[in-house]
Amino acid sequence: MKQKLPNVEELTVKYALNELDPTEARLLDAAMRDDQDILIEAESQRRTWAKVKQLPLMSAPAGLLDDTVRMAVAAHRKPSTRIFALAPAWRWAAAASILAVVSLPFLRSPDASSPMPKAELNVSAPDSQPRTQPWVDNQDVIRLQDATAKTDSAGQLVPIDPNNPSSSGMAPRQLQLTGSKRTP
Amino acid sequence: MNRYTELDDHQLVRMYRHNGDESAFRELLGRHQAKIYSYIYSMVGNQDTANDIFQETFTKVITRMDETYDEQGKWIAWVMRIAHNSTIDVLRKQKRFVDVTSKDEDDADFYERLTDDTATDAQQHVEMDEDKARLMRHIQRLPAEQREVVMLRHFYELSFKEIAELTDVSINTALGRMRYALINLRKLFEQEELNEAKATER
Repeated sequence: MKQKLPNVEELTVKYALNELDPTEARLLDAAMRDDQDILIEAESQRRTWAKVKQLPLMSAPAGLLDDTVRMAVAAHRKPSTRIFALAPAWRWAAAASILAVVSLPFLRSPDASSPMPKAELNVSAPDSQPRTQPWVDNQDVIRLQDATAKTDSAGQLVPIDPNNPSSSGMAPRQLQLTGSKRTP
Repeated sequence: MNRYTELDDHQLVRMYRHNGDESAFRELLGRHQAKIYSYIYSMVGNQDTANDIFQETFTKVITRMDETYDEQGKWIAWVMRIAHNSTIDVLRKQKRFVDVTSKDEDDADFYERLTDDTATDAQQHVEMDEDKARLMRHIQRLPAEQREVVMLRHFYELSFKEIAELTDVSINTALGRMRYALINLRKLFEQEELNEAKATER
């Protein structure tokens, strides 16, 4: 008895392209034995595909390939204008510059709000109070205050007496380097 | 031996992206250009148009690599998708993707100029070239959506699942298009044989 496969058309294509899984191969094999039309269709598709497979690869013209390589090289050399494409150090520098420009009005002396003429302010400000440039500390944090200014923690520092190191409140430490022998 | 030939696509892409390594890009292009160009040419059937699409494809590849290629997937699959989309865009503009009755056959002898390494003597070589030119003419006569499936399978060796994803249809539709393409090609071959037989009789 002839058994009609529900997806015989898909199976013949897969057969032509050698893509049948073992189960599908068994099903189609049985169908081809039962129905000669299926056998003819599957075989004719396989032969047609075999002809298509003879279509050779074509190389693009050499000039076109050279142009493509030149384009690729030029595109990579072109400097990017995007800030995020910059190296981290330059990125911080750019960010600091922008911040400096934006924060300039806030760096002025408190007298800036006085009704003094602007020209006078601009002239006297650099003499009375040196303007601090923004800087980036080792934690990549932008600082606006003077790096040498006394901070709270800096005020707690006391010079160490070389004759009496313990006077500074710190126990003398002996440095043990990796691979070195501890001296008694 | 060139050290770049031993590197895989991922390594070459990384070398080009991060260091602008020209040799790495040249190696990548050399590896894949023939498949890409053959696919484009077989779809449009005209060398000048194929050259334009090829160039457009790589312009997109170069300018979009940083933004849209994530190095997780295969680089060549990403490039093939761009080539495919660029080709379909051109076909749509030419309205050949829908209307397949207008065909440029001015470049039909392109395949006749091709050499084939498998040819063993001059006679066989001539015969093979003729067969390929004929085959190309028949493929050009297929509706574009059938030609697309045949060429994606042949040149890019995509599975039907991949073809279905790329062309935005179901797997069954892709299989159906391939089936119709094979049936149509068979008819075209038979018609041609018939015409040749009639010409011989006269």
